[in-house]
Amino acid sequence: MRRFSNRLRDRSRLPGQRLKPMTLGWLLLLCCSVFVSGGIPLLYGHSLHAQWSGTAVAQSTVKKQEDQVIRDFTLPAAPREAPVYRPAPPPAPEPEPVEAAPAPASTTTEPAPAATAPAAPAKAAATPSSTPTSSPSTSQYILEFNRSPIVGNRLRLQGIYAETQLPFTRPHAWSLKSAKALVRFQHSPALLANRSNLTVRVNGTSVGSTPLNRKQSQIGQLLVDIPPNLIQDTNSIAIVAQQNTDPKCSNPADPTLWTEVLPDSKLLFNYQPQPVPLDLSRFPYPFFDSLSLDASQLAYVRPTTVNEAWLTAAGRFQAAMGRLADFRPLETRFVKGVESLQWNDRLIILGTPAEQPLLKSLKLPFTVSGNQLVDGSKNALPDDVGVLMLAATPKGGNPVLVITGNGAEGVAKAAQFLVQPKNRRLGAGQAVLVDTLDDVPTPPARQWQRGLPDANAFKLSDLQGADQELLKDTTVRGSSAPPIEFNFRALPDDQFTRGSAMNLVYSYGPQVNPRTSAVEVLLDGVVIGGKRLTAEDGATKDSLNVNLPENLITPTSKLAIAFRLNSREAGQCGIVTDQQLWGTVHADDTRFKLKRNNAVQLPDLKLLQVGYPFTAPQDLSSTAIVVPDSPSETELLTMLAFSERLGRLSQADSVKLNVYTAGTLPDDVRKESNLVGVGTRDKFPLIEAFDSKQGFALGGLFSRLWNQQKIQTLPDKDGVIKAMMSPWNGNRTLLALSGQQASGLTTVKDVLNKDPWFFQIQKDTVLISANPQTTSAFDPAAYQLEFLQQESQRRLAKSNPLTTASSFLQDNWFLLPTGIVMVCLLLYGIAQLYIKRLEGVKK
Amino acid sequence: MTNPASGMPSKRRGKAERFTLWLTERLPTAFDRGLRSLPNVQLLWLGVVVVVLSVPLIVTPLTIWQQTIVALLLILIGWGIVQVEQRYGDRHTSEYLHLFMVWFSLITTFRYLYYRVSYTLNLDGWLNGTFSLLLLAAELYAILTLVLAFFQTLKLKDRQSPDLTAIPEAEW
Repeated sequence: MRRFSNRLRDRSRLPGQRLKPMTLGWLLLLCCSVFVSGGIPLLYGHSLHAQWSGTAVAQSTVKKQEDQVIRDFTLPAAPREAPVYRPAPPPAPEPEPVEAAPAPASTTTEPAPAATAPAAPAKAAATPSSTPTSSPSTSQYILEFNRSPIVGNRLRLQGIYAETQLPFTRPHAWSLKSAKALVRFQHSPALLANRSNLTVRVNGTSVGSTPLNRKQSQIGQLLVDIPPNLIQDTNSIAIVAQQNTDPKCSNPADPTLWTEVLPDSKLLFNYQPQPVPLDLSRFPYPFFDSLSLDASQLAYVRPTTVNEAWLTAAGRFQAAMGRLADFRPLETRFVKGVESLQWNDRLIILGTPAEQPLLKSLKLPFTVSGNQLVDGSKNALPDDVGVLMLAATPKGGNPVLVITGNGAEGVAKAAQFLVQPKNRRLGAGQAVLVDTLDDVPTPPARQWQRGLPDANAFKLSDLQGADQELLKDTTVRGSSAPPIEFNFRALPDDQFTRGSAMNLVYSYGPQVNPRTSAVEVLLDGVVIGGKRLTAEDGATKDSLNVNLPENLITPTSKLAIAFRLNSREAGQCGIVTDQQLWGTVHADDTRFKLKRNNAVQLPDLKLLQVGYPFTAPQDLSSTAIVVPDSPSETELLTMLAFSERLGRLSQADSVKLNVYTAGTLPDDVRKESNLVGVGTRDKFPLIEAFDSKQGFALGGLFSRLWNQQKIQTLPDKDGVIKAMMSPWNGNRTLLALSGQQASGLTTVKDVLNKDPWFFQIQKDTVLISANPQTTSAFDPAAYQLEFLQQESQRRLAKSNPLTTASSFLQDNWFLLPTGIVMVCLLLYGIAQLYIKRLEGVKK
Repeated sequence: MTNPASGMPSKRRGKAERFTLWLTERLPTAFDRGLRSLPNVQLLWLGVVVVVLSVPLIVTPLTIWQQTIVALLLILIGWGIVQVEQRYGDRHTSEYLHLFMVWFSLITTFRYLYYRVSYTLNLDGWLNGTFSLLLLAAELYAILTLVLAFFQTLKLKDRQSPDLTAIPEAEW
């Protein structure tokens, strides 16, 4: 407990504040040693330091070895075989029949009977289906095209040669037996049947083709077999249309050259679920499958008592799962026991055996005796040792992750082991005992892996592309070359001033048309600079200096470099020979020079879209979530949803998020941390959030307060997200996640979980009302968000006096001429006196 | 310097006159009294401190329309001072007004120079860089000339040409 509170105290300081005393101390020490040692040469000083450090390392090693000998544990006598998780197929389909693929034909085209209205994308994307097939153990999975956001209501192919691609994955546990693609399409009646066709390609291999010969835009369908060996972990299906309206030469701009792929086109997979041996070396699989076609579902077992240690461990684990999931969906719920699990659930049992009685009923490597985990010699494990175990439910249909220990400290260690990638990579086998863990230092508050570097001068090769990899020299080809796009995310507390610039270094080939070719730089789609490509023989490492507009750079910005390359010869029949055209961006030579201050206006929920201020530093150590003393399931799920969201928005080597109940929140954490209160209005743990006389507030008895107005609503099922400056520290933020009823808090949880709503929030208060008629959470009309701004914003800046004064003058620019006159008068007064005195001396 | 307003007729009480009196008599007198205990070195340091404090005024960037308004205001003030100097153009008043204008010009020139060096140099390639620096050097030379001219005119000398009639031509 002492160690825990020490950690809390460390965490509560800001990194900058923590370094200062240390730096001062070192400086004093250095001064003293220089003073005392006097004439000792520097060379000796170096060797002396080496001796001292060598002795310290030796002592530390011996101590570690001693500790290890003392704390060796006996493993279970007979190591069991690894438990096997046998993924269950999706539940039986609804009575509505699933469109089965005609068996014999490898490629079948047939006119569809009628034009069915495309289903709403969200609705159709909701569930997979399985049908009994020839083999009883084979399942069928139908992946409709409308699950891809680029499809929408139709996928349009326009022009003489049009191609579009849809990516899809194959889950780890599938043994694919057969696959088919059913493409439903409509096309322009003006197309010539003998010169127009539709081809399906999978991973670059053509798997089927059909002529575009339907009359009067009737719906056609193409059913093609896909060889199973063609399908890898990640795949893409391409639909290619060659379209002509003229026997010799079609005009590529002709609007009648079109084919539309309907959103109810689908991929049909027949697969056998493979048994998965559970092993911690593969973690997070199978608890999270990055290749899964459905949302991974985590099912927590609620402990008998919810305390601060359990909450913190659960919050950190969920944040880590959010990081692993990144943009992929993750669903979380609580279950009472194994019997209430669904086919796709992954069970998480977190807590001591006393808190989780379910542990006694599972077959685990370390057995539970009484309320204690025992080792192979039947000795109880110490309280501060964490235990991680993998198991499968008795029927084997769901994997179980056990994060436990005989004491709270052990549980925290076990959870921390999974949270920290450095430790997690060491894990293997069915069980892991976590004895000691290195403390991962907190990164600086402005070190964001996905943001711009903290330094003001950096290279393009220091930035990450869309695949989160560092950028390298990149070449694009052709007359419609795609732009080279990369993230250019400002840190949330960056305030850019005039003068930021990018020096782009690029090369291009000798075949471009110098009259019409150019290179452009775009920031979020807005062209901010460009230059003609004038050299007839091409150019190597040409440069372009682009001013970066200070108002356009945001925490979600993307920068793109586009080569507009045109051939010297006009195309014939719309076909241009363009593969000789190329442009290259040199990542190591392209440089950025930024001018920015460190200042931010809070509270601002728009900044919460990137996690700020809760994700600064990125290990979440400055954030504390507070739940009521006896939290309900909805409140716990909301807490987990917020933790998961913070995890998705941050990248660090550890998670140091803390979660408290209202009664256990220490005063120093209350004063030093960014706080997040979770709870319904009557149980809200930080009631000061609604005591403010300004802005929106929830009152007792279903009342709503807005400045001086007060109304009562019945019933009030809305959720509220409200940000304000912390009443206990003017430099920290307090975020309230609340509602008058549990249903209101559920809407808050849903908004935190679902990207389309979360990335809308702004201002300082969001009122969320659910549409009762909506059946799917993917429906764009499922929630209505209303944004309010009432709290006055406060400017937080970490800058030198010059920057502060300059910012003040920018905000009050009319003081600038006044200041100039005042300074001139002062200098005038001093100068005239000085000159007078000089004259007097002369006389 | 001597009191510039000593020779002025006391009946003129226009705004311009009152401003001139304040600027050339009352303000210097207030400085003389307030800073009389400071030795020359400290007075010099005080001037340096005020120059340092004026740095935010020099480096603060403004939007185009804000800068336009500031520029118009400063031009108006400068033009007003010149008008006053022309109307009450006795030697001592001119010296004081001139000294004020020197500082006024220097601060605004520094503001321009900061903008010029920070935002307008084009160092893309040796050709652009060379000509950009050459142009800057020319401007710096002009500013240096301006500062020298200020220095030379700090104290106006009303020199009279000597009468050569009394001197034999052989001694010219």
